[in-house]
Amino acid sequence: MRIQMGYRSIQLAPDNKGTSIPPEACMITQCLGIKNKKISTRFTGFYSKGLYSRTPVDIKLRVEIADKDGNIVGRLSTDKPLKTDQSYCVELSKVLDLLGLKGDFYGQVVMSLEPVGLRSSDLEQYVSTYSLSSTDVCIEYYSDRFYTSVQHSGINPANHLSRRKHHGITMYSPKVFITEKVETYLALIHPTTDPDYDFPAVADIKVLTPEGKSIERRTSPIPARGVYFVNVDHVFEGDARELLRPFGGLGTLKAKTDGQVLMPLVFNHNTVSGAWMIDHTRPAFLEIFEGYKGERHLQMANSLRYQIAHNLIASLPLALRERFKKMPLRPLRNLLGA
Amino acid sequence: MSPADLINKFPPILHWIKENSSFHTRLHVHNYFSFLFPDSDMNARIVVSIYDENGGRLRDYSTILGTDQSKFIEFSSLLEEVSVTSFQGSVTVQIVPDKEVDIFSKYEFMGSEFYMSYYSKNGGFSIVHNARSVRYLPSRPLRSVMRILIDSNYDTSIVFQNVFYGSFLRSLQTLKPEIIILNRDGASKKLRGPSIPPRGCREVRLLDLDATLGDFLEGQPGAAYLSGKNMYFKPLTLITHLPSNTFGVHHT
Repeated sequence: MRIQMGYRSIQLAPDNKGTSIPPEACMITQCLGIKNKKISTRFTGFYSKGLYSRTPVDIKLRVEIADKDGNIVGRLSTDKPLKTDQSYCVELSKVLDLLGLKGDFYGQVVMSLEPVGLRSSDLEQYVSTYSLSSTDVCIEYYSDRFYTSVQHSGINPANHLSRRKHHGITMYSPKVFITEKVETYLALIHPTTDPDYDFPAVADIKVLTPEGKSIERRTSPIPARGVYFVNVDHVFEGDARELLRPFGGLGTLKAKTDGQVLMPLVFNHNTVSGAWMIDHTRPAFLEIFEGYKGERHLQMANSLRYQIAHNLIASLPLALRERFKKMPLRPLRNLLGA
Repeated sequence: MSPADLINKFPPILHWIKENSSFHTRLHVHNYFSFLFPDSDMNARIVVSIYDENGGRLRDYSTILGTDQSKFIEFSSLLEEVSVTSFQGSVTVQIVPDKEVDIFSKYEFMGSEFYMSYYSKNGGFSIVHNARSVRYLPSRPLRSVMRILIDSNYDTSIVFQNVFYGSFLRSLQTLKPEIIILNRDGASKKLRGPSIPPRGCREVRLLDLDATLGDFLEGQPGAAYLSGKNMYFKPLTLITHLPSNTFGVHHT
């Protein structure tokens, strides 16, 4: 049974004249699209007047589909520019129908909101001026058994020949869950918006127990614009389940690349209920808080507020000062949050 | 800086937890310093503090993770120890290394990376990464936009958290959220969320604020613009798929 969504999908038409996405375009979402008997995918976005009120140009939605091996299988776009405050919904199954693609599918979907009539060389300034850095797209995976969504906007520019070579990335995900009833899948998306970039990537995948014991494998080459999508336990030929068994099936997955960037998603599949949980992972990184007002600032503020109160009272005319001294201190303390 | 003082460089990072007989929350944490500094043999101290929905401190918990180690902490167990079974509240997490490396002295404050998963008996399962740190002083309020789904298949709640954990002007730090709902045609509705005290949180079902929202959105995805006094945090949404009773918890 398919869910009756009731959403009015946006009208897309095959874009035969379309070329690849401008290399410097920044309003890009790169993600995994799946259509089979267990999982359907749709993309909902919102071209928001509130967010983009200073936008001086029309915005067009474009969708580019690549198969798991990175071959572009079709491009579509909206005939008319989006209206401000217009939400849109793109159903992957309808896109594949429009492109004449039958059967199960998984591959990379690239969505972009592109200003009409701007040269790509203008885009960088345009983006920095108007903060048009994301399409704000939700990637929703669903069936009649589950609903889950991921909100991310891809990595751009990533794997770009004109940019300095990336040193690689270490992704980790302490949410592997492998039991008789639950499977974990790993998707590694190899994104690029550079039409000339065509280098495969490999990743070293490691499954770690809570105690730190681990097993490791290397992936097969993942083509540019392609997707590596595997059952983690199959990669390790059953060893991952055995390794995590003493820990209730829970563990950590690590994936490391050298010189290229991959976007990871982790899927947990409950084989009994049919539900899937999908979320993006994050790289191992040291998040820096610039300008954070921490405990030290709090201590300074606490000492300052008494100084301010003291100075305030001292600056009052004598009569008022005497009157103030007779006031109970509680209201002042309440005001100052003491 | 001595290892004991390092905790001041890693401020508490906030998340939301909910526990009852059918809905559970689990913290997924890994000593990721092993990946960042593989040659340093660095342990990580995990410091967890739980607050109730009105901001009252309920309990603390601490553990040490060695190199490459991880921990999956069930909040049902932590709450059972203080005789609480049905609960909604906030949790702060700090992941603090036990050794100083050069880069720590370069920056004043750094984050802690972890995941929180939510699961139900019906097979519902959702996981989100850590969000933002708590705040000790007022700062510029944030605005955020979130996707909402309300129709015969979907129900949306927004989780508001007051991230103010300081004492400065505490009496003035109540969170008063304002919500503007936009439908696909650009029409809007303004709603007011509940007042939330410092350190407090509330899960607010949008249909409880306005029962006509389903008709207003006409079965299409809508957007919620969130703003308001003392809104220093981008809330989570909890979207429930009613036919399967599964759900997704989302951050912006």
